[in-house]
Amino acid sequence: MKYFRITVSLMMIMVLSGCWSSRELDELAVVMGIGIDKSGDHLECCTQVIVPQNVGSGEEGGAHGEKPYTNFITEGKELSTCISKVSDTTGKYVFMSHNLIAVLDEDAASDGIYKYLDYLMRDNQLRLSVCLFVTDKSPEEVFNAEAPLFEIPSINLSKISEGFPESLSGQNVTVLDFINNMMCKKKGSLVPFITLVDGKIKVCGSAVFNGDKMTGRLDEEDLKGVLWIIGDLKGGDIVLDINNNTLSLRIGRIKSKTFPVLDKNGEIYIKAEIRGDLYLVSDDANMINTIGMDAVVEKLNQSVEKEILTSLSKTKKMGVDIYGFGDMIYRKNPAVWRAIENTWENRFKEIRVDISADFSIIETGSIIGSVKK
Amino acid sequence: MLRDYLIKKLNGVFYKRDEPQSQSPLSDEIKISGYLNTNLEIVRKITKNCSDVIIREFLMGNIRAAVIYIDGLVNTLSVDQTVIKTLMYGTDDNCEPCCIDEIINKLIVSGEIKKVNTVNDGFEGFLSGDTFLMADGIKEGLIINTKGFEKRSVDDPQTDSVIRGSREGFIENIRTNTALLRRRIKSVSLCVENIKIGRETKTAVDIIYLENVANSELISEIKRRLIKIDIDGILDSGYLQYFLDDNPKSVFSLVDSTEKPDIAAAKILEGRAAVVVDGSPFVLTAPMYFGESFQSPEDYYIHSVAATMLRVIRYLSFFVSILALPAYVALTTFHQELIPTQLLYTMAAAESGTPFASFIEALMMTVVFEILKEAGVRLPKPVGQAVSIVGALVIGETAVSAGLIGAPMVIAVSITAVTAFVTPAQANTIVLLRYILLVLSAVLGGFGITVGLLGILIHLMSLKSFGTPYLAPLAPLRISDLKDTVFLAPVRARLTRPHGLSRKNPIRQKLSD
Amino acid sequence: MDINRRNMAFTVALFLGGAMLLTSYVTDITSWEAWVPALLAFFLSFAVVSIYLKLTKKYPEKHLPEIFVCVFGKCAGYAVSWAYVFFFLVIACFNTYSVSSFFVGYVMPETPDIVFTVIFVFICSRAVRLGIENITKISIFIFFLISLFIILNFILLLSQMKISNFLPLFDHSFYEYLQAAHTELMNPFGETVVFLMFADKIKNNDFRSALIWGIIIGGVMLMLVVIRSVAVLGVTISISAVPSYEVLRLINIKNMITRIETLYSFLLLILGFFKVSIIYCAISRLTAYLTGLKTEKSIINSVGAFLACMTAVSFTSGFDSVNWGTKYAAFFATPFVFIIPCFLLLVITVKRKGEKAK
Repeated sequence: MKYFRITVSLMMIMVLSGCWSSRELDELAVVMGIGIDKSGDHLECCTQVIVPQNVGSGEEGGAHGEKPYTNFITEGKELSTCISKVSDTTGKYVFMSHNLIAVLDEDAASDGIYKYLDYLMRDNQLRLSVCLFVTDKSPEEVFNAEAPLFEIPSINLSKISEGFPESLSGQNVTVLDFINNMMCKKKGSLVPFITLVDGKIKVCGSAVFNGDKMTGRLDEEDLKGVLWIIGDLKGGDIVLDINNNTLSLRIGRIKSKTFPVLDKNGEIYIKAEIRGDLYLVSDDANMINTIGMDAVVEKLNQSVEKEILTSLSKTKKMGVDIYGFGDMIYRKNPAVWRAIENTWENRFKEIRVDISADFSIIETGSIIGSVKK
Repeated sequence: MLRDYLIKKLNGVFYKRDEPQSQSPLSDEIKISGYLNTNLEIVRKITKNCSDVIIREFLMGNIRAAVIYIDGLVNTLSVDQTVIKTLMYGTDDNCEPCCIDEIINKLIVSGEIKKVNTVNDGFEGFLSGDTFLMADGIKEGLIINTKGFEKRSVDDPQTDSVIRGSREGFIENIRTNTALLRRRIKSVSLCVENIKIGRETKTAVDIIYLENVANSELISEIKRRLIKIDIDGILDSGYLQYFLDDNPKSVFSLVDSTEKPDIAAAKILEGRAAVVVDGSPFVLTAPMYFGESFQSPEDYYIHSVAATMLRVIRYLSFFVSILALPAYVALTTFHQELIPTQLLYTMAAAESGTPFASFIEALMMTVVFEILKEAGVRLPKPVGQAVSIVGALVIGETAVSAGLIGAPMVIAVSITAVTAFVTPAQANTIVLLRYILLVLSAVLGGFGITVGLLGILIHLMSLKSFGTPYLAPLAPLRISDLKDTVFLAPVRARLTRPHGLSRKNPIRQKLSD
Repeated sequence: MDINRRNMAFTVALFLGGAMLLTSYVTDITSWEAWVPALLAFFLSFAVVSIYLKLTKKYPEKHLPEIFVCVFGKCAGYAVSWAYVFFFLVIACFNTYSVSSFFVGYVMPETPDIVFTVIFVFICSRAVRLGIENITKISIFIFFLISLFIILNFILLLSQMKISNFLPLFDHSFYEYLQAAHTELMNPFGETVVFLMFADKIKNNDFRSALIWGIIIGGVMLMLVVIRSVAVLGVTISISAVPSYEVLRLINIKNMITRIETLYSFLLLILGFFKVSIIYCAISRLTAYLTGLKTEKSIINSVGAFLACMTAVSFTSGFDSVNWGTKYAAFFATPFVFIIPCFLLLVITVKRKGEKAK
């Protein structure tokens, strides 16, 4: 009899006390994107929440013509209070496990984003693979922008960010990458910068972060030069200008090795070797056959090196070590790094970088000549 | 203590008296006296209410004799020709039989003949379909085999169907069943031991095993358990299954049953014992281990790689069947972060209109499906069409469009229900386990399911079927037996019998070149 | 005898696997070089285990309290054994609380931790009722399932691993490595002293080789986990509370195999279940022996209830238990794991020398 009583009491603990964490699917407000807008002391947070009934694959979704998402704007002192206020408006539990992006506006970025990142990392639901963006318009407008091929703009943005390695327009920066850069020795981060043109999203360059504050911007041309060294490039098109004729090439695979070299005199300089395979995409003036492949490749190497050097000089002036040279020195030789750590900002501005690009065009496509003579 | 309490309540006042009363009029042994009239008096008194007992008196020469048989159980031609005719015409005034041995040796042509001393044995004989012969002046009687009752023909069994393999199935007659096994195992050491169980039914139960292969402890243990049974009737092998079980309280049955002779023959060859019960087409085999529910005879007749794939699918279906619905409930109520985003908003859209919580929906749908299944088993054929239409359309389609149930829930329930039939041996346990896991998942989500699975594992670990652990060969890991669990090794690689089943004779095949 | 050598080895490996939840203690101090103290602890553990092996060699097939009674005499032996009961209780309590607080913190935040504790201890008590022989029988099967999962997600994370994350090698001071190694040594490896309680159910030679093999297999598994976490997270490992969990969140294959960290939490539950069951079994056997009971079956429920209550009151929050684990657990365990067995060995050697002199 006593075992019966024990078992029944245990059953009662489980069942009668209630299921605390159980939440039905229709009690959730699934947040897909978080936008942070700061003006002065005033913090506004824009969250994009899915409205499941209006999603296209449902039966009545398309017919209603309503958007499958809504944006909620809440304000408060801290990010956490803003987000908890969302449940005041929606009446549902704010569920952030499916959050994909975090969009920050310029003011918030310049003030330092670590406190938002701390919230994003500490919360048990959010994951470290959330993509970061900076915008000069307000996050609300970004969230309202058209997303013609996706149902929800947040998914659109996250797909844009994931596609960066194949487009030479930026770097996919997740919270994990950003924090890694912050914890590495004085390495800056490049967060993609988006703006709105005619209500549509346009990526224009990147914002440069020193630690957790935004200190400048890089436009697309300069960004390309930087990405050659730090980017993990798997695709993207470049245009080569030879004798007023243009040639388009697509990147197949890039292997770039950057490493610090300690000179005999105790001088440190950085060597960057970029090797890669490219595909020929368009060559209407038939440069390949007229000048010859070697010459084209030579011109390509020179053009890329020039690009890298220009962006290098610009970024050096900004004073932020976005390439991670300091981190490379530390990893190679911690003792040397500790000696120069304090003077790194100045050293970075004058550090010598030897660049050598060595490409090869491996495929020329389906046609081998040109129609025009 | 709980068990005693329940038994007391369920059996009322009679719980204290554990000796069942024997109310048979033949409680004492009545010897056959030499006087036919006295014997026939006794028989007539006992069978005065049975109109199908035929008592035919005739003369063997000058000696009066009588045959007693039951109409319907005997082959009347056989009774007339081999018993009455031979005795009537084979004797005349000159050659009368003086003792029973002469009748056996010279007169009666029948194959199976037994001498009996008591009327009780005579009753046992003629109640089974034999003929009981008594003669004036002879103090013994004869039981002559004239069985000829109606029986089903050997046909495709309804439960274990295969694509490739024999289509014979056991029927209700014990002799035919043992004959089906004998036809497959023509070995000298095949033993068929008989026991009669049940006070009123006296059901014949045969234990069949290969003497040079099976462990003698197994056979003696089976016999011990069967002889201990003191019940008024055994109607089906299912009754015996729970007497033979090591742990009858567990939902997992520890004795396997089959309707096909080739499965039973294969198990006998491995060293197990088959228990055939008269009146039941299901033959029990002992011992059993868990992996047997996932084996099908077809696996051994087709290519081993294909068989491995089928086995993997069966194991997968078992787990899907007990876990799909609890996992669905747990995912949608506790762990929504496990669901891919696209699926999440589709499911949210589907579930948003429904009034019930996921757990209630799941419970309702499974109960409705069980009702449909039960109705489907019992309905008469003309009504079948209508009920299946009602089931499919109304429950499935209309409930979803009416907004009572979400469409993903219907999918989950139908997957659960269909996969339960992939392993028919465990179909009943699957249903019970599913409900337990469903309740656990509704209360504590994934933690509940994991705890439930661990509990089931612990329970399975404690089960032993006639000394072999139930989860062999996976739990006490025995690599040599893994050739026949999830993966099936080719025929040429299966050289030994499963460990422990045959200590005397573990090798079944020589390694061929 | 009752337990097979292979089963015992895999039980020891599974027991060590229970420490996969606790890798944050090591990564706290040494950050991206967490593999160094893990490796160091692995090697040092052989030294610690060799003490136990020497003990079992001198007193074959006797379990822990019997050895104490033989060496120290009845009173002192019993006193030391009761101290070990306390030690095992604290370890079991700590592990149970780790599991409960993990679930409360990460998987189901609103549920009070008592519910997890009680149900967890209940299911452990059901396992302990089976006896240690049956627990060892399931262990191979469960170990293979778990190692399959670990290897699978190691492969899935290969694309996100960077060798440069290991890079500045040996940047910390030797003292920091030693401290981290000490924590790692006491927490998973040292707790194998629990297996001395089962030395009487298994043949002596089998026990010795099983212990060594178990530590090798379990150690390799742990190293794999630590290396995977470091390679993916790099420097940020020092600020993650449970690195393995964070790492698993990053897997995203074609948007289908994503978010498998919740599955990892169930795996942790299974591992924790085995660890606590084994310690629980040791406690019941020890208590049954010390109080003179013939078998431990009657005392299992009481020990379980006591364990549940102790877990409920010992720690106030997950942070508290992590704090205790990082700073104090190693020092609490050292006397029981290392000092007392060493002392025991010393006394035995002195006694033997004394007898030889006579």
